[in-house]
Amino acid sequence: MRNLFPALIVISYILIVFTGCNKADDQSASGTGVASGVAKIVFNNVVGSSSLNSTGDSLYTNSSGETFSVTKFKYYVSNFSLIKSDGATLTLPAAYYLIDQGGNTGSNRLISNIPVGSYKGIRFLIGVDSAKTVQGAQTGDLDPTYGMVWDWNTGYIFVKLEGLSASAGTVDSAFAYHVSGYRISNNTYALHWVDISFGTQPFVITTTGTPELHLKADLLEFFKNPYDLSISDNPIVTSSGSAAVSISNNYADMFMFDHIQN
Amino acid sequence: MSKIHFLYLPIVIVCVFISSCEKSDKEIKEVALPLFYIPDGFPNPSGQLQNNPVTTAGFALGRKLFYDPILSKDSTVNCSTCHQQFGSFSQVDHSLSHGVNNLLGTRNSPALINLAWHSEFFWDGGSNHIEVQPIAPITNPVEMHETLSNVIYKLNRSSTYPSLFRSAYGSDTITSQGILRALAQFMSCLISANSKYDQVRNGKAFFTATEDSGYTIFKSKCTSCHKEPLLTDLTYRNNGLDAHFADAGRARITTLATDSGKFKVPTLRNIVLSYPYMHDGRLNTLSKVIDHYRSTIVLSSTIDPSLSSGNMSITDAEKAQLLAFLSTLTDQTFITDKRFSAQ
Repeated sequence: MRNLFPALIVISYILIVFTGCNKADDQSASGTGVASGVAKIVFNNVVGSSSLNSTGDSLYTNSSGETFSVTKFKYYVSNFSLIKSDGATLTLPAAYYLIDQGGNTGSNRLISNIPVGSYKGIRFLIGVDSAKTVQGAQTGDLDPTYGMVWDWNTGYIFVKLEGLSASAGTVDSAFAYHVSGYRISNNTYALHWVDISFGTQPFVITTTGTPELHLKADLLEFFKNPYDLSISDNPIVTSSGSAAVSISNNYADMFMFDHIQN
Repeated sequence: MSKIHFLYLPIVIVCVFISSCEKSDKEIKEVALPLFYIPDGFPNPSGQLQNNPVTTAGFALGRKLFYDPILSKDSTVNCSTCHQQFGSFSQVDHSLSHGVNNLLGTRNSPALINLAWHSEFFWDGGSNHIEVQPIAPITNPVEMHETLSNVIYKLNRSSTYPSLFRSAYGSDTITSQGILRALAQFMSCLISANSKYDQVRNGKAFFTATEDSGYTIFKSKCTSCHKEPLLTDLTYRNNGLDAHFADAGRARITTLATDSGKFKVPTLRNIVLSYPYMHDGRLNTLSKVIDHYRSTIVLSSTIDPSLSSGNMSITDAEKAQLLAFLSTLTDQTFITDKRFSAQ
């Protein structure tokens, strides 16, 4: 009997886990019975009209007139929906992408099982929603080894920007912005939805081919509108609170439509 | 909630099997408690094991990691450095604890008891899940000062861990999630529910007259925060230690001024063993703790409402009775259970 004891637990749990998985799969399947295709979504980081160099070798100027270079710029985007040409919303299976141009997780993702059709817009969340944030250890892009988590105040860093600026006034002239905050009740909420229209260009999903949707993120928006973020006044923001919320209000509109390759 | 019950079904089944053996095999009766169970009279657990059910292999992997200094940068510190079984998984006689290079932390190491009933961790509740909690001590420069990536690298090079991961998860691949879930399984099984206090509650023992008087006082003066049977209500409160807060406590997480100086109510289980006391370990005996509540409560804007009228009225005789009751909260089974010890 003693030898059976651990085996029983394991077998029982396996049964339960499998049952649980089946249910989850049913919920996430999109377009069951409908022809579907694959698309690629690409994020391009820019500073105004030029591409962002995040190796620290290029100098940029923010709206406060401060010169800076960038050594890290990464962010989470999640909870995607596509807007059909008739205006209806198609919620895509839950996905969390860590966009790290030139880094480990890169700047583009393939999305499969999209129902065939024509789409005119996209909606997504900047950051990781609270429901996911309270579910314990994660894998994939949410793996804590990517260094985008807080351990002392659990949560994912939604947007991380680090670099150098003579205006910083810190040791090594380093500045760092780690923006997070998923708890609504504490006035630290920094999650933002983004709605992007593709204008007159339809994004067409077919059973063959891989159309590409290119979006861009303009880093200049990180520093302005509505909050003038000055590196000299605020060189380090690495906890949730009013400064982080203000910065998140800035970057909420940094994403823009770039182009489509159908 | 029904989901939670469903998860524990196999444990119930196992219990039934074991019960049927009791008469014929006394030895089994003594080791019969399953790794994870809900003690009589306990509320439902927090549910954080929902995606991480306890298995024998997962628990064993978690235990090995808990006692292995490979988690620290220079292989000098393991979890039990600050969470010793004989101290109810706290660090006895240390107001603060040392990490690598003998660096000191800023808060008293809490006892690890009945954590499956908690949904937030640390004195300020900053960690929101038992699986992600270990990231903090592993990466904190004054604790283990290691990275998760480097822990994975070192575990992959070890001759034993890949097979332990295969036993626990069916694959040799070592992931951060596998490490964290194993630790969560081990910690969730640190269940203490066999103190004299529990035996009295379950009708298996009797308090002495002094202990019983202490229990009566306890119920009238202490259980609004130290709620039975966990002996904490899991909330954050200012218990009147200071007028100004060197450590903002819960406010560090919520950023709300109304949370300044509030810390999580600690369980009183095994409280005799887990000295010193308070979030910074400033009081080294239970006698001093009771003296605080009867003579040194500091009123401030965030003082807990239950203490807002200041010092409690507790006579010397009542204090002795309270201390007698608190000593019935010690669970020898828990601190000597070999399943929880380094193997």
